[in-house]
Amino acid sequence: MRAPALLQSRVPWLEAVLCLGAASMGLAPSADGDIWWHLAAGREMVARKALLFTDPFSVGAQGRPWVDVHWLFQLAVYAIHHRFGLAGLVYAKCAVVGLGSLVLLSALPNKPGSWLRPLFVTLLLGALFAARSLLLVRPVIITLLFLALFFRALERFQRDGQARHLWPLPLAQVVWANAQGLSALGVAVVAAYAAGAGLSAAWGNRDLWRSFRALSLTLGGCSLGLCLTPFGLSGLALPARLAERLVPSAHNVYAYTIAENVPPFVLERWSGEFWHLKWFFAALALALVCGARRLRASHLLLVVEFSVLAVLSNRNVLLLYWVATPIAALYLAPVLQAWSRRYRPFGPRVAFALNAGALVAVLGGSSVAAAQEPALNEPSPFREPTESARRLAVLPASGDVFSADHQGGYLIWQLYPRLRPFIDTRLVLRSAQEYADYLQLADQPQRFAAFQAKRHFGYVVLPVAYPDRYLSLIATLYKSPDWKLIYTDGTEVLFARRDIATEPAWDLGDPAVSARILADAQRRLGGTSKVWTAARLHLATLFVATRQFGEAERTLAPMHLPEADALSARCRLAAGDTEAASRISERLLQNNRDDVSSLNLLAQVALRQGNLSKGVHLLERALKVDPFDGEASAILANLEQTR
Amino acid sequence: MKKTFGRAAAWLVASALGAAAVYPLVEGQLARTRNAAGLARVQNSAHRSGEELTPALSLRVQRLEGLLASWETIGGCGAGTSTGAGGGIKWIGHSTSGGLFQLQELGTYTRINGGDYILSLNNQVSKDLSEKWNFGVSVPLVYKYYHTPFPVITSDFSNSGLGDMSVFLVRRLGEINDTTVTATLGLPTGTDYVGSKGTPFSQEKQLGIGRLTGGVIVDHTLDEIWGTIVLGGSFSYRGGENKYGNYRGPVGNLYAYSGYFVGPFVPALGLTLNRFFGVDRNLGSDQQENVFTVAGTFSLEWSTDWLAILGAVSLPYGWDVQGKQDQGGANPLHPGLQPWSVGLGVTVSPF
Repeated sequence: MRAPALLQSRVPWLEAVLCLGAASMGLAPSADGDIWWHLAAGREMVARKALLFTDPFSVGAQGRPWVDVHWLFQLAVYAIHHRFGLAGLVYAKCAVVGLGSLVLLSALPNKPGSWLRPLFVTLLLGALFAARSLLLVRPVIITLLFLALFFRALERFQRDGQARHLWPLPLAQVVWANAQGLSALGVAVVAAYAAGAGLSAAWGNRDLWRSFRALSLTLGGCSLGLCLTPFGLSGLALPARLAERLVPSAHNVYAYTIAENVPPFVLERWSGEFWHLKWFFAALALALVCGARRLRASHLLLVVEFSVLAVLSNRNVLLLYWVATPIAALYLAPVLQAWSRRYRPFGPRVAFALNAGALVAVLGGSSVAAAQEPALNEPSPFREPTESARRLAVLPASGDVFSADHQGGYLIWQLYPRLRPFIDTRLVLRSAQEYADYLQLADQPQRFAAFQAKRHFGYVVLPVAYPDRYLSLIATLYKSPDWKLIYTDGTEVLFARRDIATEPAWDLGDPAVSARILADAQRRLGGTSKVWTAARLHLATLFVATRQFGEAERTLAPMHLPEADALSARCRLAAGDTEAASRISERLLQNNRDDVSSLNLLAQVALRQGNLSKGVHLLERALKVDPFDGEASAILANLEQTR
Repeated sequence: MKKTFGRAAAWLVASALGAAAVYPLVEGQLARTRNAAGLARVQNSAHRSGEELTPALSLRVQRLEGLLASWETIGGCGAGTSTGAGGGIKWIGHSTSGGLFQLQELGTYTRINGGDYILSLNNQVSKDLSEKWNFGVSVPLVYKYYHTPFPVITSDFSNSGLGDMSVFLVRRLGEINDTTVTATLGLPTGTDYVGSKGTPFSQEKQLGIGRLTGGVIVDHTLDEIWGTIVLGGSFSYRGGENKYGNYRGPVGNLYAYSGYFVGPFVPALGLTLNRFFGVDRNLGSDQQENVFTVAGTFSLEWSTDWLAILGAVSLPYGWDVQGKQDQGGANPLHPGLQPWSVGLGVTVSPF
């Protein structure tokens, strides 16, 4: 009996579904701060007609040597942005992802009647959908394409032994090495195939010595290609320096404080963003067990390499999905095919329905997610200080700008050379101690005055909620006689040094000011969207942080959402109205008895009132629901310290 | 052998991936246990009334789930013990600490007379369950190579694959946890009746004994400013007799190691005295064996908080030969130097 059409290899529209499906996963506005300094570097190189070897952009690292191995990527994105704008960059990213997925598909054997390719299409689209938050406009997208090209060439060589598949790889490695620091992965992938061939040859498959020699030569060529950057040995050392920063350790400031470097299983304690990784590992383990008898050493080594990278740092999860999905499909498809045929005629039909259903569900989910995203021609909301930058562009250029590191790139793009930020996300330009000192300014804002005395910043730009690490610093600056709040929309704040700002300071306690902020934000974001709701919550958070409780209540009152009520309860508690705070939290608990936020608040109230047993009981409930909840853990830690 | 080794490697990696898949669940349960213990401590202790609690009020009221919009995601650039086994080689330096679990890889090469050798890679994962308890799993991969010069035909053969896996539980004693008691249970996962051309290999060439094994290790550590001293002993039940008449007798040992701190490096010297209680048997026949051995060990360990690397060499000397000589009679055993080992180990303590 023939297998249903979708499960056969030679389905003409399979490539189209994969390409368009993979491309659609990237349909979201640019959400990463790095792209802006990449664009600025591209613009600067075009202006100077020369590469950049020192940092011209930031105050904190000005003039330091800069190993800018991304220069090819930067010129490319600048050209695209110059012609098509930010939306053009997003579409270009989608095109590269779609193209890369086609290259991966072409790496797989195309046997008539095989289920391999259809299964791969569903698995890859599912994996990309789950990890779509990592499909950012940044050089890793180029790495996806090169990884696919390397995988294709090496798989084809492994199948037919023709060395012509390998010849282009050293050349591709040169291009890759000049587009991203992750280019060392090319050498690692070739090394896995060379080691696999060497091991198999050593185990008695003498024919593979020839393959081993060819792969070793390619490995040498790729290693040489890795050195061919304008930065010489410094360029070669960069991947090692970057890799070192991923290794989790209590003393590695880069591993736990940079969002993208945090190990995914650590991140899972606070956010559901990487819920899928454990399932991917389980599926991969199943594939290896299914294929244990015929598993190639090269595939095993690749799985180990990329799994280790993914466990170390959440940003590498995408690379694991990209490389390991075709490997998983290679070993799962024959087993599934054989297994379902044992239950003819229904087995293949059920498999067809499941595969088709999963594919439709993934594509449907992706479409819905893309439709809910804001416009592509603007940065993703709340990520960049767009309004502050607009204002800074016309303010006196006196002193530099202190900003959150992830917003430094945008300020460079918009304001360089007129104003420069202190820091941006090019942390290779900074020592670990410098970065730790910078973070302490947010965590211990009382240090900022001494820092300012040395640096003489003219302006400070900070985000309110993404991340909320800077709230204490915002509150400190708002109270400081040396600074004036001269702009906020609730999601970003702009302070100016009092001696250079001529305009009056914004009084967040003034109802007219909050009404103006709300009206302005509503006009920009629309009055009903999810983004508008989030922006309103940010504004209320800002009011609470700066102790403007009345304005916070007024902002939250019309919202009628559990999050708004939870914030309102916290606002009341901070204002000292424990009775109202308890009343709101108990109402929230009636609707959701596992509401950790309300349990925490009630626990705090009980403990403040000296009711230890009730407080501990509430805390116990909260920690049963979420054993990693930061607030509940902090309350417990405080209790243990004071017992 | 190639297929066996390849399959073992596939299973090993699949097991590691499976462990990674269940890690969040296990971690959640451990956190719940930790939290419950903390809450019980607080509940059972007298809270100092009137003590001001440090404010822990968070303004983060949105809980992030999966499949977030681009602006909701967290990612992006910006701020946002050892119970190892093998060849008398022991980790006694700083090692690693503070991670969520400890992964230890120890490869050893043991050179036997006449060009024979044993390669083993011991993969060990352990996790602190609390300040006092530690639990771990040890998965050895073994490759044994023998070159037998028969009177007429010289034969080369090897045996490789998964050895006997073991699980262990460590209890730390004393106010500063300077004494540890480790209980080990070995599982019969290694093959115990493999041969060549219809003839089974002798028992010491098998990868396992095919029976449960067990042992107890007691360690006491003396921390000095200049370095560290480890004193201890162990007793191992090596499985007794299996259904083929192969027998591995129990063994006990006493040891002392001393390491000197030189920055992140710890050079160490150790001495181990082994006593075998009875000789091993192959298919019911006694084998020749040095009942007493003493092994000198030198190791050099380099460590950071999350990574430690160890290189070591162990040189044993045996005496008090007991048992019968093999029928071939080619290699009668004498008191003297025994097969030496070199080892290279890596320990990581991630997260």
